[in-house]
Amino acid sequence: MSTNAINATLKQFALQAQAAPQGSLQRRVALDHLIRTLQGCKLLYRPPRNRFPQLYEEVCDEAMQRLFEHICRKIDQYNPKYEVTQWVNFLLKRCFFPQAWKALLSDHLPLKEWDQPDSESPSLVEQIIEYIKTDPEQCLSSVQVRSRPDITFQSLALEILAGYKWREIEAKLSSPISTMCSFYRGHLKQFAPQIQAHIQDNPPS
Amino acid sequence: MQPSHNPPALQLKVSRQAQQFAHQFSRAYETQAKRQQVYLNTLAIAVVNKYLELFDIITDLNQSPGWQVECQALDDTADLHIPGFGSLACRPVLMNAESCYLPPGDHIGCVAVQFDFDQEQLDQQLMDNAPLARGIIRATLVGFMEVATYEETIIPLTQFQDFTGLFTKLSEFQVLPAALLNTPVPFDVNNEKTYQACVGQTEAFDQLLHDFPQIMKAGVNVLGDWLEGTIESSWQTVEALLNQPAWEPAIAGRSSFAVRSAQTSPRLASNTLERCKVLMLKENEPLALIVVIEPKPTEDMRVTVELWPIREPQLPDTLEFQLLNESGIAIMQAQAHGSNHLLFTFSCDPGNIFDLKVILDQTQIIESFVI
Repeated sequence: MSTNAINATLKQFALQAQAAPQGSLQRRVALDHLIRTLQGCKLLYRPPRNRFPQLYEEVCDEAMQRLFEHICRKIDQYNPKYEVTQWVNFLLKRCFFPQAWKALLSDHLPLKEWDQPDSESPSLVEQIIEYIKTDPEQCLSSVQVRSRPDITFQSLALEILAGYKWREIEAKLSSPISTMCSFYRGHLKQFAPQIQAHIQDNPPS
Repeated sequence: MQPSHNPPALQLKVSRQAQQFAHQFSRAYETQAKRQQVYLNTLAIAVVNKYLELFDIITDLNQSPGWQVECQALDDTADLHIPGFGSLACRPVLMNAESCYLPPGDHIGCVAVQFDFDQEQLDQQLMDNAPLARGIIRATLVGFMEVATYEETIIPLTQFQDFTGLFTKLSEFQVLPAALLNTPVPFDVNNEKTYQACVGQTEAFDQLLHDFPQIMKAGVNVLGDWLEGTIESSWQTVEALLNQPAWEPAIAGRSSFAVRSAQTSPRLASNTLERCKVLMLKENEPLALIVVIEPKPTEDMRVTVELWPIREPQLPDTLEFQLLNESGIAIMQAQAHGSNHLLFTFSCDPGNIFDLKVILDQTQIIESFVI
């Protein structure tokens, strides 16, 4: 598409969005089309690469995201006297690239903690795994799939905890997904609060 | 009403925060399969949540099964709870995959989210005790599909449609709370007051630039500020430049810049503002970049930009001068070829952005302007 055609399309979406009330179906559809067209249009401002040598791609992504948020919330501020690309490029250059850069710089510092594994006490996940494995209240292994006493809530939970998909569990246990899944989900609703309460009452020592 | 073509699917970056959650949620599991499942589910749900936020669609992440540790552990779920509506399955898809796996469940619909990494890269990323990779993750919102079945399903990606279907379904349910309709306006290019507020917001950035000048070599020159008397000190009047001892001997000679200055300055209209800046693309070849702005009774502004040699009678032969539009495309360009100056005149509207690019051999200088 030519630049003129893209600008015309963008303006059309922007005007459609402005004409529809906030939160309406028409506005959402027009905004969705508007930002998707913008993202693909190759007419958007990008700072010279040497301005942000380390984080260039990330700064660009961040600025675009901020732009999309602004467009979706403030489309009423768009003045149709100008092209959408003029409006948007002004915002990118003057506001969102500087903001994105600033945000990423400040964002970088606390991330060091990410790498630290959770230190002393076992995490909630570990406590759940422990509960499923040991069945301290003797309830998980007592509920069984009808006609298949070997398939208990506990045995299914262990499969799920290991990351097996239902399809794989079906193949492994030769029992239909629908039967096992409705059995499991039904009891999960019942056991989840119980497991939660048990973990709260028995903090790891 | 809509043009016939369909724009490409939207790509969003996965926030660092979402990546952090995904790692936290997945770290403690014993098998690689479960770690990957929880990791991908968390990213998918975060991306869809972000997308719906753009459209003021209210979600409840904390009440979402996909965000609760118990459900993550004991189920394969990336369900996002939309109050008054139900659960939306946000299904992760790896790069190069052609279908999407939907576990059995009670969903009103399914959104496929395709990440820009493949299985091998995912394995790398989640290896035991590997330091967290902090790369950028991008996610493409492939589309939405209504699902009626409770069964486990594999859905080819080509069957997904855009989000109009989801928005249509949602419009039957959610009503926006009044508070959201009156959020304060951060800035508005077309409104002087809020425009000033926007400029104010960049103060902290200016401080940052001051601390790390290497980030951005050229700032943006706001010509609107010039008219209000705020002009960076690197831009000076032509007289001030002429009176600088450094240039005196040159200007006293046959410099065409001196000749120009003697002729032009008196004819400037009273509302016209003229500033110049010395550009050094090459040693001993100082150039004067002159910007003249003339506000018009209507909204637009006449801008004249000129490039003059300060020492020599002529510009260097190979010197190029370009006017770039907001997309970085040259809309006017000239090469010196023995000229004593180069000049562009154009009119601009508020909000217009342009760059001036001066190139001499291997060196270039860009000055950015916004009206």
